Parts: sequence; C-alpha cells; structure tokens
Amino acid sequence: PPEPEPEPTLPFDFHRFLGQLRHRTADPVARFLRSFISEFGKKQWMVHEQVKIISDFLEFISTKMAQCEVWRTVSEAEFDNAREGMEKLVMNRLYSQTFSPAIPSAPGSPRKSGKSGRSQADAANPFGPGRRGQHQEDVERDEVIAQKMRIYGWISEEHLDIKPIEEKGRKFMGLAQQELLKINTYRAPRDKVICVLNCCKVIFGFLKNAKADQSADAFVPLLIYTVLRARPEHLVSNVQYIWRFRNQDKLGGEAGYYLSSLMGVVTFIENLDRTNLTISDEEFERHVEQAVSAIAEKNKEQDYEERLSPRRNVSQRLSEKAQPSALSDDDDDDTDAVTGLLRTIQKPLSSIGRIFSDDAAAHSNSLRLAQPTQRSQQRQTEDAAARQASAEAAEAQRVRAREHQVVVETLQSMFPNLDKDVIEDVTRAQEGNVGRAVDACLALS
Amino acid sequence: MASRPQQGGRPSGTRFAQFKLVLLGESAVGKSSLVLRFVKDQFDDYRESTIGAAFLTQTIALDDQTTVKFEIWDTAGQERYKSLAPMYYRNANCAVVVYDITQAASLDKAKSWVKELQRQANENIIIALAGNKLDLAESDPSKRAIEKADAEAYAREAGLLFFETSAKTSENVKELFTAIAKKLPIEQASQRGGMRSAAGGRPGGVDLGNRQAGGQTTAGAAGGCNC
Repeated sequence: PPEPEPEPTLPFDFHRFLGQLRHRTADPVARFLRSFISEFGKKQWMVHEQVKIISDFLEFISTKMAQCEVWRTVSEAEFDNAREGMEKLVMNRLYSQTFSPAIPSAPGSPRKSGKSGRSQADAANPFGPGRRGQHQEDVERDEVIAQKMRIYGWISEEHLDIKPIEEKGRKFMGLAQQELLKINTYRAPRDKVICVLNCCKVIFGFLKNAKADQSADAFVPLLIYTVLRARPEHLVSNVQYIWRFRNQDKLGGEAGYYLSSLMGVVTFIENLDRTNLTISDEEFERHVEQAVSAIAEKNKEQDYEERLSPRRNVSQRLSEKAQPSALSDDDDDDTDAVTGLLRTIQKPLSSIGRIFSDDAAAHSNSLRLAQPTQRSQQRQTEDAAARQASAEAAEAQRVRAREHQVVVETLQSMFPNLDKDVIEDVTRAQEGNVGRAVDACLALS
Repeated sequence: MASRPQQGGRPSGTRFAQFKLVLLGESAVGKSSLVLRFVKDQFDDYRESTIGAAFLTQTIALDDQTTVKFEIWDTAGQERYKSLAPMYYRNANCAVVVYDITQAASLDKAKSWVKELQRQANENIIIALAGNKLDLAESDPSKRAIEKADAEAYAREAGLLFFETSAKTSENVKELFTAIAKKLPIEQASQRGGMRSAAGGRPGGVDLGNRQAGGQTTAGAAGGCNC
C-alpha cells in the first residue's frame, strides 16, 4: 500500500522543548549542554571538525535526553520535537562561530589591499582568532555571487525563457522572494531550511495557479529568477551552513530536493554569462555595461568618502605609483574603472570578488558581532542556557507575529476572492508556514 | 533509570528500502510525464501532489516481503541548466535517462548524460535508458527516428537497463521502474536503514559543490561534453 508523504503530525514547538529542558529531571542535559557550549568556544575548529563535533554532541545528548524522566515516555513525535529543539538551541548559541559571515574576519587579513593576488584565507595568521579556511572561502564566494547578482540584476523572464509573468504571478514571485530573504533573519539551520522550502513551495504554487507544467524544466528557471530578484545576502554561506549543520536525516526528501536546487542555482549564477541566457550580444553588452557603470559610480562615491581619511591617501598614492600612466583626470578614472570592470567579468570569479573587496570589507564590518564566548563562559547560573533560549524564543515569537500580518496581507492580495478572516484562519492553522498556507488558499480559491 | 524504548522496526521478515532516483534527459522527451505515469498509475486514488512533478515519491512492492520506495528527482532538461545536474545526481542510487525515439538527436544527448553519470555519479549507480514516445512510433512507424535494436545495442554495451516506453499509454513504464528496483541493493539498504546509508552518508559532504576540494564534482561536469 502507498505510504502517504508524512506530514509532521506535530508542528515544531521550540517553547515546549524549552519548558521540558527546564524540568528538574533534565538538569543533567542542561549541564552537558552548558559545558559543551563553553568548551566549543575555547578553541577554533576547522569546519569539518565543527561538523563532526556538533553532530556527535547532538547524537550524544539525544541518548542522555532519552534517559530523562521528562522525555522518557513521550511519543516518538514529541521526542523528535525535543531533538529538533536541541539542534536549534545549540546552533543558535554557536551561530557566531559556525555561520561564516558571523565569524569576525581574521585580524591582519589584507582586506584593504584587496587586489593582492593571494587568498585572504592563506594570508591570515593561521593560528590567530578569526575567520579562516572554508569559512573564509564561503565569505569570498558570497561576495563574488553578490557582485554577479548586482551585474545581472536586469535579467528578466525572457532571458531565461520564462513565460511573461502576469500581475497575480508577480505577487506570488514577490512572496517567494520575501520568503527566501528571511533566511538571514534566522539562525537555526532548521529555520533557514524552512525559508528555502517556503520559497520553493510558493514557486510551485505559482505554477499550479497558472496551470503550468510543474516539472524541473519550469521550476529551475523560476528559482533562478527569484534568487536574482531577491539577491539574498550571504547566499553561499547560508547554503553551506544548512548543509553542514542541519540534521542529515532531515535533509532528505523534499527539503533536500529544494536545497540541492538552490545549490545548483548558486553554481549557475556563479558561472553566469551570455551563453546561459536568451539574449543578443548587443543587448547583453548594453545591460552589463550599464550595470557595471552603476556599480563603478557607487564605488567611486565610497572611494571619495574614504579619501578623506589619511590612511586612504597612502593607498591612493601607492596605486598611482603602480600605474604611472594613469591620468588623474576624473573622467578618465571613470572610464578606466569601467573598462577594468568589464575586463574582469571575463576573468575567473575570484578576481571579480577581489576588485570589490573594499566595498565588501565595509560591509563585513557591520556583521562583526560582539563575541559572546567570553561572557557565556562566565555565566554560571544553573538555568542560564534555558533562560537565554527563552529570550530568543520570545523574540522569535514577536518576529512571527509581525510575519503573520505580512503573510496575511500578501495572501489577501494574491487571493482577493477569499475572505480576510478565512486567510487569517488558514495562516494561523498553518502556523504561518507560507508554503502550506499558499497550498491551502489554492485549494479554497 | 531505563531509557526510552527503541522505536519502530517493521514486522520481521519484511524488507523496506528507499532509493534516490534522478531523472535526466532533454526537455520535451517526456521525462516528467513518464514519472507522472509511473506515480499516478500505481493507484487510482492518487491525489495530485501539492509540490508539482519535480519531486515525487512512489512505492512499489516487489513481492510480499519487499517494498521499495523511490524518491524521484527531476532535473531541468534545457542545455543551459546542465551545470546544475551534479547537485541532483549526487548520491543517487539510480538514474533514468530518457530520450525520444522520434528525435534522433535526443539519444546523443542521453548518451552524454550516461557518460557523465558513469564518470561523476555514485560508483554503483544503476542506470536505465528509456526511449519514450513509443506510442507515436506504433501509430505511425515513419515517425521512428531511432531503431530499437541500435539503442538496445548501445545500452548493452554501456551496461544499462533498456526499455522503450510510452508515458501516454503507460506501456513498459511500470516494467522500467520494477527492473530498476530489482537491481538495487535492497538487502544492504534495508539493513543499514535505507537510502542515506546506501548512498554513503552526508549528502554532498561538507563542501558545497566541491569547488575547492579537488574540483571534480562540478568542475568536471561543467567542463564536460557539450556536443
């Protein structure tokens, strides 16, 4: 007999897990957790070590949890909720050490002289604190793909052989973008996966609504289109983080399919050039030139601001020395910048990333999170972990409430013939899960 | 204090295994309709999947004791999305490469997929070649562009399962998937807990696309045959 796709019988409830964790009989688990978090922060691990250590710990703690009175007799679904909760709690706490852009960049990494040929990962002190190795590579790839997305921001449906998207379809696609962009508002891998899942489900909702073919032939171009429109920050880092730290048993099936698709889209965009698009040479060149000038213009503005600082003057002089023939006339600077940029588009991706690394450095500064490791080590109260997590959960709930409103409003505009109360109910019933809410609305409309 | 009892387990003597199947072939050869036929035909009350035809599952019973569940991953057939394919066939246990028996060029494309799979995919991947749109050739033999014997000879040489199918009439569709199921290492997979173990652990490993490490998975594929 066919097995129906197992819908989660029990919606995930982080709160309930935290409540259980505060239970007296869960004390040993809370203690293990606390010391693990603290030990983890004492050393800087390689990515593959982090993956192994965290998955080993989650495996270990789940056997400990199974011995606690509070979980010993619960259903399999309830215990799974607890395992999911533990993964979320652990990853929320370790985010600043595991999510590449959240790790402070290594001191002395030659960011400002971004045009030097060496990889920043190699140049950084291999023993000092800071982002290195694969974490550093993730961030470099983030910068490259962000740049690609900026250069190709003009791509529209026809360039990807997508049928023109009508007004209602635009709402779907807007929602898909919104869902994807939420990936940076969550820290737990599970939550990030849900953003990808919802984004993809909305795309399928669109195809279904348009009574179109729902195969990969139709889905993949739309996902590329969505990503290019949404331009999510830290795209590579997010996908890598999910792949590394999400419970592998949960990465099969549908979620795995969507994640693999998103990874494929990442590769596609990284390698994007004229041959991947339906476009004439002339139109392509015109669009790219425009995009590149706009970027160069923006960089120039930033450059000008930076020139006001004396340190910048030094590097300015250095670069003049390196190019003695360059005229100091502003217009020529401009042209040079544009031709230079155009040339780099043909070069391997990494060089494009470096061209813009000044820009990116300013950006990554804003991500430098205060390092919580020292502080968290000092936190000695018995239920600190749980308390911290409650605060996180409360914040998450506030976010959810706001999102609920947004989802309801968007669904209302997508399904004008449905009553607002009905949409409210549907959204609430689906726990704000946009993918399922769209499915439900499609069934009702 | 005793820990919670181990859950689940199937009745003894029965075997259940889950496998990942990737679907490759040019657009318009009928990849998706082939799979929809397989998934829908199996039971009449099949409810339209809420997620379209790109990802589907179907379970077949090989005998009273043996159940095989396919997780079917569709890929985009357009040439420009060729570089995405490695993300989909990674860790696949089996593949169906589809061509259209009325379009001569579609077999060449299928052959290049086979080559790529044999070079890049799981070492033990079971590959089936499906010449679709048999119904067209049966109603009008002049439409046939690829002789069955030729394709069959190629399949034998390359070590592939081979069927001519019709998604429209469902001819040979179930046979195709059943033949694949019979070749899969069910014993191994059901002992070790199914697809994940059979496919060799962490899907895709730690490194996205293996661009840096070795560069073989995607780089080789992207630079592969473009003919």
